[in-house]
Amino acid sequence: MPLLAITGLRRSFGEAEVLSGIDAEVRSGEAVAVVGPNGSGKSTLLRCVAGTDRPSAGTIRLCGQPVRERDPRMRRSVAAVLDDVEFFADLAVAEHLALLMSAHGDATPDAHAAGLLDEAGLAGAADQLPAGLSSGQRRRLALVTCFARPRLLVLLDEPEQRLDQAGRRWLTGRLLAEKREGRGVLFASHDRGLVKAVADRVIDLGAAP
Amino acid sequence: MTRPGLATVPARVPLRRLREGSRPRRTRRGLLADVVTWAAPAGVGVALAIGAVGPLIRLLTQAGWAPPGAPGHLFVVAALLLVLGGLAQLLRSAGPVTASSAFWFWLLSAPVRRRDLLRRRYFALLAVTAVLVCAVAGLVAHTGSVPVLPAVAAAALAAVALAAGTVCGQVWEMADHAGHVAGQAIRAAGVLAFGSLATGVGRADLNSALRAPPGVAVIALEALAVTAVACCAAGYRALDRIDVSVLRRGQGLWTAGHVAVASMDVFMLTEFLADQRARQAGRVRPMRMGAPFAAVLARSEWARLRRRPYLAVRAAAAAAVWWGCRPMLHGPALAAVAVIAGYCLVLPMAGTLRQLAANPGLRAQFTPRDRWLSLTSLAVCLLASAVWTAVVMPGLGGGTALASLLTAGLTAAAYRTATRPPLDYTGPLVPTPFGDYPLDLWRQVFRGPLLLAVITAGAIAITAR
Repeated sequence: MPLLAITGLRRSFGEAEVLSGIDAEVRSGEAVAVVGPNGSGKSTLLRCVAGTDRPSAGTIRLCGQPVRERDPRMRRSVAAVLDDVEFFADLAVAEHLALLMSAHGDATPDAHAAGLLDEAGLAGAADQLPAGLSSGQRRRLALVTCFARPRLLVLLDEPEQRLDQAGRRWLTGRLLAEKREGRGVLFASHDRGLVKAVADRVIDLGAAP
Repeated sequence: MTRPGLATVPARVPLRRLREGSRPRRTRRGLLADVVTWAAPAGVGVALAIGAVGPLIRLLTQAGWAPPGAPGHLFVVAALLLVLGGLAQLLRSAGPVTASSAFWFWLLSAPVRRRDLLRRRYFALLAVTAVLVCAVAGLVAHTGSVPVLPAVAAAALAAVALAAGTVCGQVWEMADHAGHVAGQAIRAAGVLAFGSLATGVGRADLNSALRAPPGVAVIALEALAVTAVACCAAGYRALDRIDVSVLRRGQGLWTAGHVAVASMDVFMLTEFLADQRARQAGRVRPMRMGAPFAAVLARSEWARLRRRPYLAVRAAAAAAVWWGCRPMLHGPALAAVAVIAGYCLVLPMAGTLRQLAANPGLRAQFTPRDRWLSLTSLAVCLLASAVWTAVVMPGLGGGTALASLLTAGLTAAAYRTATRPPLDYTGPLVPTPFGDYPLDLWRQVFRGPLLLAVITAGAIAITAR
């Protein structure tokens, strides 16, 4: 059984049909890339899978169950970075991450948070408040929050945005590790290098409507 | 003839003509439609202004609300010091002469004397500041049963001097530093004066010393007038030296304030201020979160509070001011002030609640234990409400009923305000002179303040019995 199964997905905004009959699936240990020009519906597809947007028609199933954003089990299984992620303004980067890991049952959150920050190249920013981070550092932190929690499926919308070369290398390695650890990855990207290095299959949404 | 490398400086009159010529011309029908649309609100405004003339004359001529023998002079001076200190801080943070991005991009890059472009904003700033401070000073003087006109005149002159002085501060760093120190000193003096009112230490002496004979009051007013004129002239001369980077400094605050007013959401402003403070803070000392999760929650809230020590200072000042108002105000008015001040103090404690409610992405990070974070934040609000209630209850009386109402009510009002979901504009629309208005919007916007109004009414009813 696929981890994620999308069947006949349609999404319209008024008369404009953004997604017309998308069929796709993501299996455990597999990465699927969504590519296409601006306005082709990549973000809309990811939002429908995350349950933050409602499709006009079609079904989305996670582990055989229909996706419902209100279902805590579903939210626990999916880690997503779709838009700009917010952080607690008064907590340092390390504190925010440790709080997140503790909320997901980690008994030693400080050590694990430090390890993750080091891996993401954010060790030097551990004692900074999120407002003081650069946009690239904020992007890294958003991605780290995604990898710091239990998950079966990772959803990422253009994760390479605002990352420097070192950041892109870290992201590539991290996504490959996700695959090795048996998780599914569905990501939209304009970075051919990232798609080539990580994706097992590609969904091409073609031209913008 | 222009020499190579030098641009001609356009004269003022052709520039004005050019600006006026660039505005779209209105048709007579369009103008008539605009007049009709604005006629009804303008009529209501004029009627209200005419109706206010009588009460205003009474306010200026009749005795105020203070009980006989109350230390009214000290109260008025303390309140005006706080108002002027707050004004100084606000003006310094907001600019005070500022320009929108369109203005500085298109006009300030033009080879025109900067004073010509900024003059209107400068005079508008002085006028608005003076009018607002006059209104507040009139109310304060009447409350303290002190002659209104001298108090209003003194406050207005001081406010104009402050506003012009902060414009100088935009140009000269020394003046800015001096203005900052002066603002802090004025606020501290206000709080100390309220402390004297509250505790009685030096109250009688200070009050009688401030009851100056007419001759001394006139000399003080003349000195204030000379200072105000000097500051205004210095501020006017400083306009030519203001550069674009200075004009942009207050723009973020103005924009945040404008957005907060337009969307009727105070958090738009407070989040901007928190963001600014966080940028200034740079690095902090992170706290070890450890385990178990309950302790982690408590530590995270403590870390937040520890990074905002100004909340404790503000709470202490609010307590001093409230107790200082006690000799001047009657029970129901005191209860109303206690509820509103308590709300203003408790609301910043609900930052976690607000962020979780406003950002679904942040909430999703913590699923399914995001509720625990909200509950912890609510517990902090409850604790703050209980502390504020304990501070004011000895001065209010009213027993358990009022204490319960204050503690539970303040927490509930903060909760309702902080958890306001993003505005939904999809309801039925009502046409108004200002455009179509979603009928359901007021209920969404005022979900917290409405509850606060109910709690205030309840507290007034209990204390009036």
